[in-house]
Formats: sequence, structure tokens, C-alpha cells
Amino acid sequence: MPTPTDQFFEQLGRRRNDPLLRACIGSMRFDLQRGNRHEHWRLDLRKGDATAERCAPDSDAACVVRGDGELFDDIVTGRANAMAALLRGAYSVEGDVGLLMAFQRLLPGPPNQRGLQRSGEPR
Amino acid sequence: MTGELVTILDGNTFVVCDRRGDIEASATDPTGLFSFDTRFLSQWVLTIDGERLQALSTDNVQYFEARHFLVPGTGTVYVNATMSIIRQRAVGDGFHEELLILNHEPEPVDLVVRIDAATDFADLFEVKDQLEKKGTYSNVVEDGRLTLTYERDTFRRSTAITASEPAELDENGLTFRITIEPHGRWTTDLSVVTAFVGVIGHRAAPKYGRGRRVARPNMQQDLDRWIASAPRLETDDEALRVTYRRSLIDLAALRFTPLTSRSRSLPAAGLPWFMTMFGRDSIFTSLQALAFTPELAATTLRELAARQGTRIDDFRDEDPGRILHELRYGELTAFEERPHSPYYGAADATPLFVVLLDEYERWTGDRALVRELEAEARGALAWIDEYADLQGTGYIWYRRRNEETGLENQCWKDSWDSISYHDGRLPGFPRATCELQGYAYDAKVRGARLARKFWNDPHLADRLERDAANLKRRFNRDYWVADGQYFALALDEHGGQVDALSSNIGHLLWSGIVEKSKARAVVRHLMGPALFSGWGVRTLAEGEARYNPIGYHNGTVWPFDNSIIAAGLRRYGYKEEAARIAAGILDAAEFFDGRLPEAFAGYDRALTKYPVLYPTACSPQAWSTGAPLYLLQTILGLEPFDGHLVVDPALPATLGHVALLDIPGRWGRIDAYGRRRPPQRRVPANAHAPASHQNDAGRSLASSSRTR
Repeated sequence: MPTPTDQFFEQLGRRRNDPLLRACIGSMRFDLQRGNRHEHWRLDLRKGDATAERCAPDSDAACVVRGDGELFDDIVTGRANAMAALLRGAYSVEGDVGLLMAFQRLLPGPPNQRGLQRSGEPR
Repeated sequence: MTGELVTILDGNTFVVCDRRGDIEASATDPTGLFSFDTRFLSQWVLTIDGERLQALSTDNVQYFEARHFLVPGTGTVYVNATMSIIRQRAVGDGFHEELLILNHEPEPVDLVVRIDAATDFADLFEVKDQLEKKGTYSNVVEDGRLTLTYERDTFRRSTAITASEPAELDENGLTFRITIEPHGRWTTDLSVVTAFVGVIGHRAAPKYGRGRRVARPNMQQDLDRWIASAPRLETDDEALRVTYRRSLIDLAALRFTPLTSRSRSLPAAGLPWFMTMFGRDSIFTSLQALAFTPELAATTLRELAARQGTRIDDFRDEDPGRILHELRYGELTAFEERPHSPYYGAADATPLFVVLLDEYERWTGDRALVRELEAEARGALAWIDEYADLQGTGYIWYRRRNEETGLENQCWKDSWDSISYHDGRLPGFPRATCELQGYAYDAKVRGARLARKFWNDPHLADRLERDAANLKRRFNRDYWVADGQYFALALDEHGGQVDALSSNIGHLLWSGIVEKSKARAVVRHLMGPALFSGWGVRTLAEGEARYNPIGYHNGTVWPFDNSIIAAGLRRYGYKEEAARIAAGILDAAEFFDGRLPEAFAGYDRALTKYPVLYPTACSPQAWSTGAPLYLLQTILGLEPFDGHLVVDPALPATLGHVALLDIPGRWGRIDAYGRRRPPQRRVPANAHAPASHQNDAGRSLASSSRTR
């Protein structure tokens, strides 16, 4: 049963090139823990394209993020805010923080938002 | 503990203490050691033999360090000076304090020196309200170190205290039992190190220390370099010289270095409660300082771009393309009790981002940054049309979606009652304040230039120009209060005019949205007695129902506001009026030793003879600091044009001559001179006045373009 994290990383490769990430080149490694299982993902950002795949625990990356898998499920579905979670110490980051900032651009917003309110009324 | 507070700062870390160097936080005295929006010390009190000390003199010469000269005893008429105490403190990753005690007696003296130390780890948002904390505290003495820790779930912050001399550490502080020889001295280093456990790597020591004395001179060197690198001012007006220097130093002190900026800085909004990135304030300050320290603009643009909104998030009032309002790092933000990671509740920062990007390129020629930020700038322009137009009427509207902790008014006048009708009623939501439309117009016009010149997109350029022309036409029709001959402060939720007369009309001139035929009427209001106090233009005109000379946004005079208004007057050719505003604000600065406050009261100048300070906790404030710079630019008529710097001085009557030397820009470095000649000595039209000297009737290209 794929987790939200699985689904998020897998669909990355199918996304359009994102102009907001055009200047970004680098790799991130995510070391996630689920119970006593560990999973590792490597995310490559290349001038607007992002691809991710499972990787070895020691796979080289300019930025390493370590945290709980369930928290990441929330982050990649917009239920948790990545920046607030970082400030909270809910996960840790080592290396190039700029890549983490770029990564946040890939994340969706929270579900069920009112958003744009034409005519001043909520949707 | 009342009286003057002393502040030292280094980027995002700062210490607020009393004149004795003590920290003793209370609701009325919000002192402490703060870093990244958390208070790391709320008590730091020195006693000798159980007695508090008395300050003889405090030396806060540099913004990053202070020295306190003390003697024992408090509040008595006689000072028994058998002992002197000197505390020297430098801030950085905490602070380092050198404590020196001198015995002036011919006998040895035994002393118990005690420092009581404690912290509440309050979030900046909590400091004034003293909210109850949800985490747990622990104070641990181990290995010669007192560590104060706060823990809430995975959130951990700690303060580590050590001393270089042998001390008895307990959970509440340090005690030194010492003997000082006759006419002898005793000294110790005290280190206080802040730690964000798990977020930032472990630090063993504060940035500066006696053993690493080389680091503190680096701050001095950095400040010297900063000042040397800025344009040099030459003028016959001593007060203006003081103000200019003060502005440069305060701007240096207000530099904020986010973790992602590779050590480059942008202006924080104000000390001490706004030492963080604010979209609006950082952009305006960068604009004001473009002719002086353009690198601030580059960092502001990059860091705001990196945090541009990309999704819909009601709690944060985030939309795709929106530029942030405020960024905070404290506990309340971490646990999402506040939306500031970052919070996007500003309706002006987004169009102003485009304005700054374009203006920055016009000054510096840095087309690389314009290309680097193309996607973000396009996103900002799209936001104006796709997300800001809440009524579908072609204007920028605002209405917060976060109704618990979001901002109601998302314009610069963000107090609850700042937007009112002439009769004092408050409109509902959403609101479309007038200056937002000016910024939108300016953003579209400038965006068109960027699209055509750098993004190779003539279609976008054409569309933006059409939109801008359209917006200008509609705006001049919908916002114009015909019987009063001014622009309404806002439109209300029914599209009706919120018809108060306000300083916002000056921003309209600045943006260029005002039709030429209407400019004279607008200027007449700005310079008339209802708005112009003699020092500057009031935020709200006398005669409006909510006018109050000490109303925060309803009658006070804001230097930043006036620096924009003066520039707006110049844009439409009202040079003399611009100079009068500049004179008022610069005259006021003299009464504040060159450091303009956030705002001062709207009383008539003839009534009070001096500007009455509006009591706010923020000083210096970034866009007040930038105001004299922008006013200098305005009175010298500095304008980049076709790769050159045009100089078209129109000095106030009070200034004889003003010169700015080594102005940085795409031309390298250039000098600009302005001199006021008496009216009867006009230069004949066909004389060749030297390019570097122009009277107020002439225009010239700036002289001596030489690269540094």
C-alpha cells in the first residue's frame, strides 16, 4: 500500500518543468523512519525538473532531511507546514538549506481551503 | 526598573537592558536577550554583596556593543566611589560580557559578586502579553556550565552560561567570592550562548570574546567599510550631515541575514520588535536606499522571491505569486499558533516587488537578477489579476482568510481603524485602498519594460501596457471624489468611495497613476493646512472625523510616508513642494539627533515649535532610516535615464548646497551637486554652466563618471 510519501515522490517525475525551480540544481536525501523501518529517497532538482527515487542510506546529497515518515506524509499532502515543522524541530536538516526552500515549492497547500473569494464571499 | 533602555544588536540577535546593563523583564520593561524571535534571557542582574549598582554612564557608541560604568549603591545623593564596575558587552550568537571590578581603596576588599540569571523563553509575540507557556523548563549545572532549557514536544531552545573565573554555579545564577588587592582589579568573561537544538548546529561560544578579540574589530571594520562604501555627503548643513551618517549606521544595524542568503543582508523592519523580513518594509527601505546601498535591494528581491507563495493556504493568507508580509522563527509560529512561517497578509508587497525589481535594474544595470527572478516577477504580476481582484472589478482588494490571527488591514496603515469614511464610519470587507491600485499600475508599466527588454516577451509587454492604461482610466473615474477634488482613500465592499482625505494620495503621485489634469488638485491638498502640518503630511487630514494628531495612522506624520510623497510630487514636476516636504522632515530629524522616529504627532508646527514624538517601541525603524536618503535623492532630482544619472536639483530654502559623491550605479560611481542660488541670479539660457554645477533651474548629467 503506497504511502502518501511514495505517491508524492513517484509523481514528481510526471510534473511539468517548473520555472520557479529553474535556477535550482542539487540533490536532497530524505531519511525517513516508520516504526523500525527506514526508507531513503533521493530527490534531484535540475533546472525546473524534479525526480525522486529510493536510494541507499549513504547516497550523496547536498542536503539531508531526517524525520518521521508519518510527518512527511502530512507534509507532502499539505496537512503539515514544512517550515513550521522545521522550526518545531519535528525533523532536521543538514547541508544546503536553500534546497529545502526550493523543495517547499513542490508541496501542495492544505486541503479544503476557501482560497479565492470573488465578491468578497467565501467559496 | 524604569528609565532609558539600551539596545545592542547583531542581525537577528539583540539585547535590551537598562542603563546598568541588567536584564529584568516585566510587562512594562520588555528587556532580554532575543534571537530569532525567542527570548533567551529574561533576567540577568548583577549585585555586589547583595546590592544593586548604579549607572554613572553608559556608552552605546556602536550598535553591536555597549559599556556600562557603575558604582555600588542606588538612588542616593552621595556616591561612595570606593569601587568601580565596568561591564562591556558585545552581542552575537548570544553575548559576551567582560566584567571588571576596580578596588580604589588602600586595603584589600572581599566581595560576593552575584549574577542572577533566568529566562522564560518567551516568543516575541508573547513578550508583552505574558502568555502561559506550554512546555517545560530545566536548569542544569554541569561541567562548569549553567544550561537553561525549554522543551515542548520536539521544540528545544537553550541558553548556556559560563564564566572564565572560578564561580559557584547554581540553577539560578553564578556567584564569585573574590578578594581584590589594594588598588587592584578583578575581571571575568561571561559567555551566554543561545542554542536552537536540532535546527542550527551546536555552538560552543558566543561570536565575540576576549580570547577571540579579533572578531569584534571585524564588526567595526565591517561598519567602517559599509560607511566608506556609501556615497559621501557634502553640505553646509551640519544637521543634515548628522542625519545622513545616522541613517547609514542605523541601516547597517538593521541588516538581517536569513540562513538562506549566503551571508548577504536585507533590511529588517525595526528594532527591537521587527528584526525580521517584512515584504513591505524591506522593499520600501531598499527603494529608499537604491542610490546609496543597492546591494540591500538585491538581497531583498532574492529572499522575498525564494519565499513567494505557491499554494492556497487560508491560515497564512497565502496565494500563488504572493509576496510575504512577515517571517518569524519563534515557538508560536513553530506550533502554528501564529501563521508566520511566513505570513502573506499584505496586499501591497506583491506589486511593490515588481516595482523594486525594475527600479533596481534601472539603477544598477543588473540584468542577470532580472532574468534570474523572471518566474517570480511574472507570478507577482499574475497575482494582481488572478488572486487579488476579489470583486472582479479590476482592482486589488484585501480581506483576510485567517480570521483569528491574520491581519485585518493588509495595507501599510494596518491598524483596525485606519480606513474610514469622512464621517468616521468604518467600511466592511473586502477593501481596495487607493495606493494599492497605484502600485498595481506602476508594477504593470514596469513589468512591461522588463518583459520587452529582458524576457523577450513583447506580447506580455503589450498586454501589461494595455492593462495599465485601462486601470489608470478606471481608477481616475472610480476613486475621484469630484466635489472635494481628491482621490478616495479606498473603495468599500459595494464599490462605493471611502471618502476620507489622506496621505495615501501622495503614493498615487509616486506611482504615476494620477491623470495629469488631476495632479494640481491633489498637490493643493497635500500642501494645504488640513494635511501638511509644517513638518510633513499627516496620515489623515484634519477635519476628517477620525482625525487625531496622535492617532497611529489617523493623523500622525510618518517620515517614510513623506519620503514617498515628496518623490511623487517631484514625479509630476512639483519640485518646490517636494523640497518643502523634505525641509520639514529633515528639520524634524534635527530634534531627534538625526534619527527620525517611526512617526511623530500631527500637531501644527506653529503650535508646538518642535515635533512631538509618537510613543512607539521601535527605534530605529528601517523605512524612517531610509527616508532622509530618499529625500536627498528627491531634492537632488536623481534619476537614472538611458544608462546615465540625471541630476536636477531643487533644494529647500534652508539648504545652501548639497553634494552626493560616489553614487553607485551602472555608471560606476558618480557625483551629483546641487546648489541653491538666490532667485535674482539666474544663469542665462545660452550660458554653458559646468556640468557639475547646476542651479535649481537647470538639468544636467552627473559629472565625473569614474569607476571606483
